[in-house]
Amino acid sequence: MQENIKIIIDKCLKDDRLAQKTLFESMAPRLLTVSRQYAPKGCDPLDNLQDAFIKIFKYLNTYNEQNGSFDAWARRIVINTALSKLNKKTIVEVISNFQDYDFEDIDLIDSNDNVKHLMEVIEQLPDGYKQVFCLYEIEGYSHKEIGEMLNIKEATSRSQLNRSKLFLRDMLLRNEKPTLINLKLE
Amino acid sequence: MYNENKSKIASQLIDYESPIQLSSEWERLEKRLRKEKRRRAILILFPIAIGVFVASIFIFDGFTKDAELVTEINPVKIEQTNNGNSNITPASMNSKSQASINEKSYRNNLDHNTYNSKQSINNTYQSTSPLTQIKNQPSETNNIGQTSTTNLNNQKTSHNVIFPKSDVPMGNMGNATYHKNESISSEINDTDSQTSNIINPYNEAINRFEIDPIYINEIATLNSILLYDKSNVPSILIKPITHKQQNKIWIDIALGIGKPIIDYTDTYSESEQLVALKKKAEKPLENILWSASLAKHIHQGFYIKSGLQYSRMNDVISTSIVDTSISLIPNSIIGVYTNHEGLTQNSFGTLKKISISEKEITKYGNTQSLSIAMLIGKNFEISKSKWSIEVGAGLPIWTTYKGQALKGFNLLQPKSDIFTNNKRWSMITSLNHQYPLNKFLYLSGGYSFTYHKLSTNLDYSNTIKVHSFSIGLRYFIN
Repeated sequence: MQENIKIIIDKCLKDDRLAQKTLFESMAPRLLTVSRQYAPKGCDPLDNLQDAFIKIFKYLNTYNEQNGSFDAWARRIVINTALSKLNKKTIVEVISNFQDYDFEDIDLIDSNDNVKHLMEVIEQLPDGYKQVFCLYEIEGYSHKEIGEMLNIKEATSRSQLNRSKLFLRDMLLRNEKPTLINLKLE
Repeated sequence: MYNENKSKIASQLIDYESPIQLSSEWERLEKRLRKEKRRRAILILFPIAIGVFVASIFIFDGFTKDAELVTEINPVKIEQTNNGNSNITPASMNSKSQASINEKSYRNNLDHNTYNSKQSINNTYQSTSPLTQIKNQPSETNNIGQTSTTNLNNQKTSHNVIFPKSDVPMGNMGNATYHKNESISSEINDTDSQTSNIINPYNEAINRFEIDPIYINEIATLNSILLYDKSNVPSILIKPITHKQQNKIWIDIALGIGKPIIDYTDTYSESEQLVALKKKAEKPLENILWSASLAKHIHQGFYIKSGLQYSRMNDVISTSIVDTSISLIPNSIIGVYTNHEGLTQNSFGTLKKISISEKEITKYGNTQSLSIAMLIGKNFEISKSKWSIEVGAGLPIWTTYKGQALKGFNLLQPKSDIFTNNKRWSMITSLNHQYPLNKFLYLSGGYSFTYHKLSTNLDYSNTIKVHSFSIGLRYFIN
C-alpha cells in the first residue's frame, strides 16, 4: 500500500492527472470525514476538502515520508485548512458565555450509537466545541497544543472540551437526529 | 476499559468514510487545479514581464539618449589653411559630398600649401560619424602632435573636436578660448578668402553664426576640429532636446468615485440558477478609489507609472431567507382523550415545535483592496490643453470582504468564505486633463475605467466594471 502511494505521489509530482485522480478517489471519503469534523459553520465541508486538495497537490513536494505517513500529512492539511476558516472570535465569545460554569469530566464514550450518527452529532456542535473535541479526542492533541493551534488559552480549551462533551451526551441520550438549521447572520 | 473504548471509537471516526460523489467532485477539483496552474504561471510570468518591461524601457531610454547625443552635436569641420582660409563643413555630411567640397578646397589652396596635402585629404575622407571621430581622435592627436609645433603656421591643419552641448561655453568663434593656439583663432576670425567662401557656403557664415567655442588643451596638435554649430546645420538634423522633460519624475495622487457594475459568470451549468439569484439580490452601490503613484517620463511624452491603489466597493444584498428553528415545549397539550368516566381530558407531553419563517433582509457589505498598479501613459496636448492617457494592470496585495452573499436559495454565506483573498486582478485605463497651478503642481481630473476579475470558491466568477471620475494632483519632483 505504501509502495503504491509512493508511486502515485511521484506521478502526481509530475503533474500526472490520472495519478491525481487516483489519489483523490482513494483519500477523499476519509478526508471528507475530517473536513466534516473541523469545518466551521457556514463553510461547506466539500469546499473545504477541495481547498485542502489544492494545497495537497501544491505542497506535495514538501512531504517527507520519514516524518510520518502520507495519510496523517493529508489529514493535517485538511484540519489546518478548516481551522484557518474558523473565526477565532466565535470561540472566545462562546467561552465567555460559559466561563462561570464548573464542568465535571463527562464520560462520553458509553454510547452504542453507530459512528455515522456520532459524526452527524459532531457536525452539529457549535464552532469551537467541535474543533476542540476532535483535536483532543480524535487527533490526540494536548490542551496546550490545541491552545496554540486555535490561539486560545489552555483553560479555554479544557472548558470547551467539557462543554462539547455535555452537548454531545445530551444529543446522544436524546438519540435524535439533529435537524436544526443554523443560518448564521451577521 | 474506558480508554480502550475511547480509542476504538476514535479510530472508527478516523477510518470512517463519508459518502461523496467522487466523479463530480473530481471534475470540480480538476477544473480548479487547471486554474491554479494558470494562476501560478501568471504569478511567475507577471514579475518577469514587469522586469523585462522595465529593463526594455531603460534600454530604450539609453538608446534614445545616444541618438540624441549624435543629433545634438551637429558638428562641423573647420579646415584651416596656412593662408588664413578656413573651410567649415558639417561633419554629418556624407563622405562623398564632403570629399568633393574639400577636394575643391584642396585644389584652391594647393598653390599656397602643398605640404601635408595628402594627409589633409585623408583626414577629410575619414569617417564622418562623430562617434567614430571620437574614437579616432587620440591617435590623430598623437600623429599630428609630432609635427604641429614646427609647422603650425605652414601647414594645412584641420581640427576635429566634439563637445557635448552642455559642456561647451557660449560665444562665437572669435572669442574661442585657445590655450596654446591663439594664432589659429585669430586666423579663423580673419578669414576672408573669397575662394573658400565660394567653395564652402558654410564658411561664409562663420562670423555671424554663433559657434560654441572650443576648449581644448593641446589644440595645436590636432589636425581637425569639429565644432558645435547651433545655427548653420539644416534644421532636419536638429531635434529639439528637452532634457528637463526626459528626466521628469512626478507624483500623482488621485481620489475618485464611481459606479460599479457587477456581472456573474457561471462556470457550471448547475450554478446557473445561483447566478440568476445573485444578479437579482446583490447590487453594487459605489466605488471609492484612492491612488498614489510615482511616474517617470521615458520618451516622446510616454511615461511609466507605478504605485498603490486602494479601492472600496460598497454593496447591498436584499433577499428573503427562510429561518427554521426547532424548539421543545414541555407540558404542552398533545392530544385529547376520554377517560373511563367519560370525561374529555387533555394529554400533556413535550411538543416539538418547528418554526419556519420567511423574512426580508437587507445587508450592506463592502470589498476593500490594496493593489500595486503598473501603468504606461502618454502626455499629449489638444488645443494647448494638457491631457494624459494611461493603461495598466493592478495586482492586489491585500483584500478584505465584509458582509454576506448568496450561496444558494435562501442561504447566505460570509463573503470571505466565497471569495479567495488576492485571487483578483484588475485592468485600469484613464483619461485625465492636466491643469497647471504653478511650475511644479498640476491639477488633474478625468475619467477612468477599471475592470476587476474575481475568482470564487463556488462555481461562478465575478467581473466588476467601474466607471469613475477622479480628481487629483500631479507634483513634479524635478
